[in-house]
Amino acid sequence: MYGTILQQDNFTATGNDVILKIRSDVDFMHVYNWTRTNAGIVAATGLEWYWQRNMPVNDGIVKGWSVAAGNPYLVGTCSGLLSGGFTLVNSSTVLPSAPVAVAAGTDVVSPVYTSALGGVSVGSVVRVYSTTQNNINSLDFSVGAITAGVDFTMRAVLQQAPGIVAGANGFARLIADNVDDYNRIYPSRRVIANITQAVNPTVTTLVDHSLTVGQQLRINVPDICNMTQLNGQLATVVTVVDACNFTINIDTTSYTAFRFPTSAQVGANGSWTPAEVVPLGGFAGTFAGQLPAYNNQSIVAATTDNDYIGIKLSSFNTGAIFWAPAGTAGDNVYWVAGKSVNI
Amino acid sequence: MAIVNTTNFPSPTQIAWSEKFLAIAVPNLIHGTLAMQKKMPANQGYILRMSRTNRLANAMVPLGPSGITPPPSTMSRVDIDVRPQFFGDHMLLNEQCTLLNTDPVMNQAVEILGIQMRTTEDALTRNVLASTAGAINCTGGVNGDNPTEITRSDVGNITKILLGNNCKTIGSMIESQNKFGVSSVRNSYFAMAHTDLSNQLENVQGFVHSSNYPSQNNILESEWGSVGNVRYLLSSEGSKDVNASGLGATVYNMLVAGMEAYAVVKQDRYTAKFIHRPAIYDSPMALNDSVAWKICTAAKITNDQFILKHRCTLA
Repeated sequence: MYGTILQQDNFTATGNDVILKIRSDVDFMHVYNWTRTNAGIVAATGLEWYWQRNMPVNDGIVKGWSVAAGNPYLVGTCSGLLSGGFTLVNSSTVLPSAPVAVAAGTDVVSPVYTSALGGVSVGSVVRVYSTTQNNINSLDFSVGAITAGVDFTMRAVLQQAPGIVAGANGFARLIADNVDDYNRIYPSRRVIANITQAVNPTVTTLVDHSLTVGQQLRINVPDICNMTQLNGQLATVVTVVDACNFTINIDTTSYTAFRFPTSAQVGANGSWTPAEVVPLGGFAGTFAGQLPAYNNQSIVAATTDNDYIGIKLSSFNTGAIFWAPAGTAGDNVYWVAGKSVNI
Repeated sequence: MAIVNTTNFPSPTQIAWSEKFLAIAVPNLIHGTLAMQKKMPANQGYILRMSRTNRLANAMVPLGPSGITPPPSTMSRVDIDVRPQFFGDHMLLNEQCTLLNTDPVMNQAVEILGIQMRTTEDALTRNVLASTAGAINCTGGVNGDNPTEITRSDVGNITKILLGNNCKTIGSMIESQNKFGVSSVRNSYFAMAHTDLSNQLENVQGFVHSSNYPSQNNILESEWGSVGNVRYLLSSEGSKDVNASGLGATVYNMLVAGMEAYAVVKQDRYTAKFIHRPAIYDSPMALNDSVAWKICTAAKITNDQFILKHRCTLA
């Protein structure tokens, strides 16, 4: 290695974990919280962090004001101060998290799952399996709300409540921290939770779709989902409603109503193929409000590989303390990352 | 009685080095095999746009005797965009390493970097196909999972869908011959799958192992056999999703493709660069050699109806 590569930047904290994508990889890193440094002495507040390769995962050294009387300057580890720290990330090798017990979801259109699954935040992608809801088992979905350590809620609104069958609980795994990490290849297929009957029907996806206006899609609807008139049709995104809803340009008013089957409708065996939307990686731009295009030559839909190497700064704190390097919402955080020779 | 033996009088050199290196385990690189090869021309931007005009509906209404010109048809088109991206890796070799080691370090470095380049290329193609192909679950099995293990009816289902999409087969029929133990092979789609499925496939009704094909011409080394109208290529790098079934088991993605289903796009003037820089270019003291590879490539499904991700679990 030819000396040290240094990279630096700053970000405004959102209160969530922060991932810094650094293709050169990182061997050490300094982080400084400008906002909190400028705020004077506040008990249990980290101001400066240091991380170096081979330190424990999700840890690091933190300096800041302690909770002791007079608030002397404290040096400790993130884990010792009950906070998250730094974690190297290579998205091409990320696997699902370890399984954590989960109860079958509640029987509502956005089911709630009781589980202590860690690392989940709004927008995370999770997967449950071996629950008695065999229509939901194995399907990844984005999380819309959480009660940390207690439960999480599906963001998408299913066409109908999934039903409950008495029986044993199952397991949950965290698949991706957010939809950007989930989109290792963009754009990619999504399972459909609902399609309305309308001139420009709304399509709801279980995982946030990440689509933009003008993108071309194939809609696959198997028999069990009823709206088979739409099966195999080529559609274009007309509007993006929100993270898990968009409208398309195919009139479904005369089509059979879409069905997301209940556990009972899937059957005891539980083997079925859900409806899905498959983006083609192409663009048909004639709609008002489309993204910048020249002669309809928008390239926002082009298929790309989004894998990255980087480091995750945790936002996790236990209680009213501020030892995590990602800061709290609104904090201005500066960082310097380096690369060095391992002797 | 004193005996001179290897304990009290050992050989000064106790290890002899076998100059012939042991084989490096290299997986079957199956995912580029069926691809159309395309080039992204240099100095033409960074997105390759591939276009297909949509077929017109049949003109079934007679022209009639009125002499009035009927309305014209119009054209529509599907544009498929792909962005080739740059990938690479390198290795630094200290001069003392190349000077003092018995083995030809540089040769070995070059070999494993070359293997890495090709396996990377293969995995990139696999990931695109697995992420963007429409999925069909096997449902004909009895293992109680979703998807189930693969069965003959599942193969028939995937064949039916591809036929219905007017997807052409890749493999021509292999006509039966008057030999023992052989069975004709139908004109076929090809599936790219994981080696974990080798036993599973043999249990599928109607499976014909490639050694039982009437002719051994035009069979790929990775080809395991055929079921119905699908011939299976296996690789230890085949696509799979861990903990992805209804019961938390590994799901295997058999990527079943027909003619012109997907393309591998390579950047012109950048298809595969291999770079060796002698130590003299390294620093004032010429301490380190470097070897590196770079490619600029992308894979893309060119017709999503010609390739499907057939998902199954093990029995």
